[in-house]
Amino acid sequence: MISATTRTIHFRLNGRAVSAEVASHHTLIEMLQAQFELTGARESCGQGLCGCCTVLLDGKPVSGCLYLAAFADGADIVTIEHLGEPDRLDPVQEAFIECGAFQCGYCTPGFILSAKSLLATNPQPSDDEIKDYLSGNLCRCGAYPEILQAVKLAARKSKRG
Amino acid sequence: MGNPINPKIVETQLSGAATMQLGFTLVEKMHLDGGQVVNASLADYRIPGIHDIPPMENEIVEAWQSNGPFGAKGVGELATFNVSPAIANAIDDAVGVRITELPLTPEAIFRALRAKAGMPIEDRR
Ligand code: FES
Ligand code: FES
Repeated sequence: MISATTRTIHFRLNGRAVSAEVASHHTLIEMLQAQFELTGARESCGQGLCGCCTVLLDGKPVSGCLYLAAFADGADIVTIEHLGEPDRLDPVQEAFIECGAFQCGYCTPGFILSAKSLLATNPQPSDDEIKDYLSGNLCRCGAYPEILQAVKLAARKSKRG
Repeated sequence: MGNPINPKIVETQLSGAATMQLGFTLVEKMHLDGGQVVNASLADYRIPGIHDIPPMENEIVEAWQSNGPFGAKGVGELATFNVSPAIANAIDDAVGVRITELPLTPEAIFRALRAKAGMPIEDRR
């Protein structure tokens, strides 16, 4: 049903074609949580400053707290839930575990997706390139040294294939 | 520090605690107005990001805590203790003012320098 204030959008979500009914003020994060029960991307600051709500939209990381759901019409969205399987993790996920790159884990989905998209465009980044790319993600627990190590390890893992 | 049951987590706790204290020491200041926090957002209350982290080395000095589980001891915020004094000492060493209140912002240092020179900055109400 379509009312004056909602519209139907069609997009790909984690590899499946889906559609959703969204109001013009709904953000991507609200839609993913309320309509698809995807809670890996989570809202923290709600201002585009912390990166906890990161999802990949057409391969690029966006802040789901600011991105309006209606704009996702026709897009290809990937959330943290789509990475790896419990017994076969994505190399970036593996690297985060091996390096202990988190404490509470609240920021981790955002860091992992940002790191994924960095490595997709720059498979062997320098330390400075990693820091620049991840500067929009905040970790209150201060796991930054381990996160840096993890991204470097993930780069080596991906190289080995 | 007791028996490190999971050494990797101990290390993360150490650098994490130091990073948190770095924020409290240098930038994090809560502004209150009539009991309300007026800078309650990450835009107005900055916390350390990945660019703010100096090179760190963590070393675990093992010991046995006789009343702890498996000889362990809480590692929690252990590494917070010495960050602020170290930076305050460095400021004292560099410009000769001892600041005893956090955060050690450029403004705090400027005010301390002016006070030391006998020209304190008056706060207007
Ligand atoms: S919740 Fe979206 S950037 Fe912080
Ligand atoms: S691990 Fe707790 S916020 Fe990053």
